[in-house]
Amino acid sequence: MTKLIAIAKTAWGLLTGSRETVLLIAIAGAAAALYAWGATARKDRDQLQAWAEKACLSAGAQFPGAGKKVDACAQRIVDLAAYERQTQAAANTILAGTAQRQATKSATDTALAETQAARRTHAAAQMEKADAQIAPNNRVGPDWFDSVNRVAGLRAPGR
Amino acid sequence: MQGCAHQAVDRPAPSVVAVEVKDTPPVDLLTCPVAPAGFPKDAQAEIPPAVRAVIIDIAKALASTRDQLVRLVRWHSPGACEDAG
Repeated sequence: MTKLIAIAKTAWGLLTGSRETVLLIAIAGAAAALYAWGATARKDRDQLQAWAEKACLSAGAQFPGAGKKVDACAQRIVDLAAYERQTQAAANTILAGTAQRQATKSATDTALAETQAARRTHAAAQMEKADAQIAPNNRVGPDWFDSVNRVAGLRAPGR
Repeated sequence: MQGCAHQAVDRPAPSVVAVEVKDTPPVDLLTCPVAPAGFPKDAQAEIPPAVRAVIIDIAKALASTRDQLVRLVRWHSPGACEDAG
């Protein structure tokens, strides 16, 4: 480090007469760098501002400019996000409940269908038996009619 | 669209809307089937086999359709038509 400083000092000593020029060049370089840095920052800021305006418009609010304390746009975005979250949660709860009820209904219906089918099969077998006992003269009596009543699920007569 | 959105003003926070859609049929479709009274206990008749077969088929069809209707009603109103079941 000390060597470098020594070399710089020596070089500076040799630059008699053209020191002003070198100083000017150095200052110009620094200014150019500052300008470039500033331009980049402005470009970034403009892009961010354009993005913020677009985001706010999409959310249905207006971008009030950076650094505002009362920011309707930010509030709107917060509201929308909460809305999305809560709606999703509510819909999920409803869907889960519906799926659960559907499963219960299905199971209940299957059991009922089985009970009904068993009863119909039993009544049909009894009917077949009663019908087979009818004499060739085709006279049918109370037993046969009772079986028909049962097969059809009719109310008990005489009520 | 964005041109319109420029006029956006402060809006209240949107309220959550998640509605369960109930697909309930009209009440008269959910009426429990009523079984008619059966043949009298002392009934007597002379019925040829072909006619007897038709009577039995009608009886079976009635029971089958009734059972199906009871299932449908109970699907929408659990526990309904208890005496018809």
